[in-house]
Amino acid sequence: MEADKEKLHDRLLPPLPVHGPNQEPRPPRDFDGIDWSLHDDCCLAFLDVETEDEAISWVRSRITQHPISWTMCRTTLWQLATTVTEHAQEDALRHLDGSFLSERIKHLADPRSWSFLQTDFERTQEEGRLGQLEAELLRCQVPDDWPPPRCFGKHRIVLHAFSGRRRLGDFQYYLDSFLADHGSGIVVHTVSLDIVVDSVKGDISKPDIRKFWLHGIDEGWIVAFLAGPPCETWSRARAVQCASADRPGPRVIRTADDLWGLAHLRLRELEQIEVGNLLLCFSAEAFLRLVRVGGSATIEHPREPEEPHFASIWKLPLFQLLLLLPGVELHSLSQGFLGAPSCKPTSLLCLNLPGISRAIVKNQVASTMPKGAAIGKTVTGQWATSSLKEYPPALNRALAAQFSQAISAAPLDESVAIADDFLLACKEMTVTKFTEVLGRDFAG
Amino acid sequence: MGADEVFDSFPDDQGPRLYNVPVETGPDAKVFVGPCWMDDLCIALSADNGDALISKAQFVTGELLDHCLAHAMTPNLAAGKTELMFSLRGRGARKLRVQLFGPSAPRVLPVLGEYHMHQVRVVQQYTHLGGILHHSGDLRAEIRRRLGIAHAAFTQHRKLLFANKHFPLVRRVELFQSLVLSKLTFGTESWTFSDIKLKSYLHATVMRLYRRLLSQTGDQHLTDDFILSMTGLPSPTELFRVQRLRYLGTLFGCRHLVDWDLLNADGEWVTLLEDDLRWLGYQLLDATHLNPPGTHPKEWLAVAQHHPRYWKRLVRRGVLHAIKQRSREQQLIQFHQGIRDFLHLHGLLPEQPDSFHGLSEDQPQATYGCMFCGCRHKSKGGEGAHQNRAHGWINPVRHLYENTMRQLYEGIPHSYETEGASIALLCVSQPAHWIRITIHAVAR
Repeated sequence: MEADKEKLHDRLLPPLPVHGPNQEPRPPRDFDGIDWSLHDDCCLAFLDVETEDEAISWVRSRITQHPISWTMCRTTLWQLATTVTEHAQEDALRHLDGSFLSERIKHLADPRSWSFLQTDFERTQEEGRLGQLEAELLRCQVPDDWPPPRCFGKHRIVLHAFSGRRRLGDFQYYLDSFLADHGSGIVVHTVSLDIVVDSVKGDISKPDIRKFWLHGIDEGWIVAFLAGPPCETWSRARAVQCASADRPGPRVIRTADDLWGLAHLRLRELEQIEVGNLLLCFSAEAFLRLVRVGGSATIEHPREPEEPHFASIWKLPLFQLLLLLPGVELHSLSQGFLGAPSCKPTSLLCLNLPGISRAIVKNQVASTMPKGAAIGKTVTGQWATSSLKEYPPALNRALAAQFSQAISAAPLDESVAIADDFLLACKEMTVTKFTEVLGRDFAG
Repeated sequence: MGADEVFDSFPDDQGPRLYNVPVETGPDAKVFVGPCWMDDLCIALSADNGDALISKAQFVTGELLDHCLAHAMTPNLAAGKTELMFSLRGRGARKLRVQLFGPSAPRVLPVLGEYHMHQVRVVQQYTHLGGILHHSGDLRAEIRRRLGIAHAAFTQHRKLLFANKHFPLVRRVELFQSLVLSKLTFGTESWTFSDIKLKSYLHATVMRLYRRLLSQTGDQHLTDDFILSMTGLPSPTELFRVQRLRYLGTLFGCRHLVDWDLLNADGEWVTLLEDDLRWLGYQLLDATHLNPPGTHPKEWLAVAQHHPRYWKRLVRRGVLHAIKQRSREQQLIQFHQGIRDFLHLHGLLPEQPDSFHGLSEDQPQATYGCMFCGCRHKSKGGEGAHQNRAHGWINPVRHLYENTMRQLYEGIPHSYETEGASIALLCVSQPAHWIRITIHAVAR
């Protein structure tokens, strides 16, 4: 009976559940997701173009000229890639590498190739582990024509980050005197970017403030940058135990394996590390942006220790990246030869300051290395390293001489005008009054 | 019948048994009646088999109700007031379960009293002191309820407090902790997670709650680490760890009233607590003089027992350390992502050759947008709607419906008799399938 019914309705009814398990569910698909006009236009264009780059840029521009959804665009590009592969051996396409062009078209069918589609996609990947990102940065390759030549306006800002107190013989003192002698018609404002100078605009731990100053660099208003980011969390003096001290001194919180900070720290140490990382990252980013605009910069930090297990910023992939960029050099010196009370081995990462080595040698004030060591506490109870926070005048003079030359040499472009509010902020942070009080090491 | 025969008794343990370290036990066994709070009485009974358990429950309930009546109190036997819940295990459990909860089961248990027969409801779950007890020990219902309460609390204060941009995020987080998290974490100290699915569900829901605090649009993909570092809140796992560790301190505070052996018999909970202590030890490594809890649990338990304030401080420091370390890592990741984007933007970072490796047309599509307008959409529906509204484009399937499907609609079987279902069928089916349906329609 059932068989008769089935015969009667055979092929007239859809499959019934009793006939067996359901088919595997299929993803929804469009009937014909291909935009054949786009496909054909591209195919015709490939006959005329000379290189694969030209072909891809033509496809890109064609896609954005007519309304088309990403879904249809993607399907069409896949079809186009197949078509190119199938016809690669034909005479009309001989002048192009068919398989290479097909691969490039498939890349276009990936959302990563379109900036406005990227945001969401990139975040969905569980990429972004710190180690991976650092390794990725080291793949940096600089094209021959990079960076493009850049001009600066009449008003030029020199950003002196972590400047500390104004004093006789500091960097600004020498820079002002060198530029006064020069008389090239440019106006230079030396901004002391330090929390002890201005608790609002000098507080780099605030994202808005960082953005404010980095914007100034991108616009070409800031011509030079000098920074000696705090080295308290990097100092090798932490590894030395003071025998006389009644309580243990600060301990090592970074090692060569954990350059950004150890995994187990006290809460205060963690805060210290966080602030230290933030200030260092700001310095590195400002330096990188100045590379792009063709400015000058120097980052000063203790030299890389000989012991392999000690931490140093020069071991960071971030700084190794900076060294790959054009015009960047790393110089090492002992501040003891320039008048510091101890040897204080230092490295300077310089951008577009080609004569810095000669200037340092020229300003040398001591022929022998001082014997003093800045470890532990002084008789007044201060950390001995505190006195080394300020550069000796001879070093300031050498740096200022080089910076003044670079600033004066940058071509003048009258069209570059600094925004009024930015210039006002800079003027407010140009300190002219000398003070006696040293800032604290960790203001956090 | 004496109390010893009716109620269970346990050895009188004097503390928690962690990491298999033996604990001091009192000479006499301790009778366990059940958790009672004010006028809320819960009696726990056990027996060797189901029938014995039911008899025991009837006897005890009858005695209890008679006692109430003897003291001129009328027991409230309404739903949610006086109920019996059986957790049946072992031989014959299935049969009894059918007998008690089957389709023809009365769902009440007759209890013989001195004066008359009582009918007490038999339930599968019961709400006691604000928490749902399930007969199988399953916490799903309780977890769902608790999360629902938290979301409701959030919604109640959303407009005025949590979505109020006049409050800084730090203040909103504080309010969130006191108004929402307190409701979420009430009674969670005793939670155990039977499978990873439940744990993942809990994690995802709590993260969704945190995400609401950031007031981000739904289509923005935010990683868990990003949300946690932005809000500065503990991860869901840490949140429940802290609850358990604080609860341990509370238990020590009333240690003479606590049935330690009952807690020690809860293997899952003890394992969680051991893991929590290990976690705390890891967070406070190098920050306390305490030895690792895995090898020296007594040191940690002594702190919890004799120094409750210090214990609270330790737990707080542990969770703060975890939060700050995560924030440090996230800060660095974001910074490096920014540098990578900068390098990409200026052509300094070549496209990674294997970044597009393994591209396939069949890969599920997760990105939608309009190539002409350069905008992204949340879904394919959004993309189609935009194409239609902005560019007047109509999906070809709709044309097909207008022509062929109009006839087909009349002929296709009942299950497809809606426009949406017909289109959906056509989108998922093979061409052969819908051709067959068309033939059927024509034949008819």
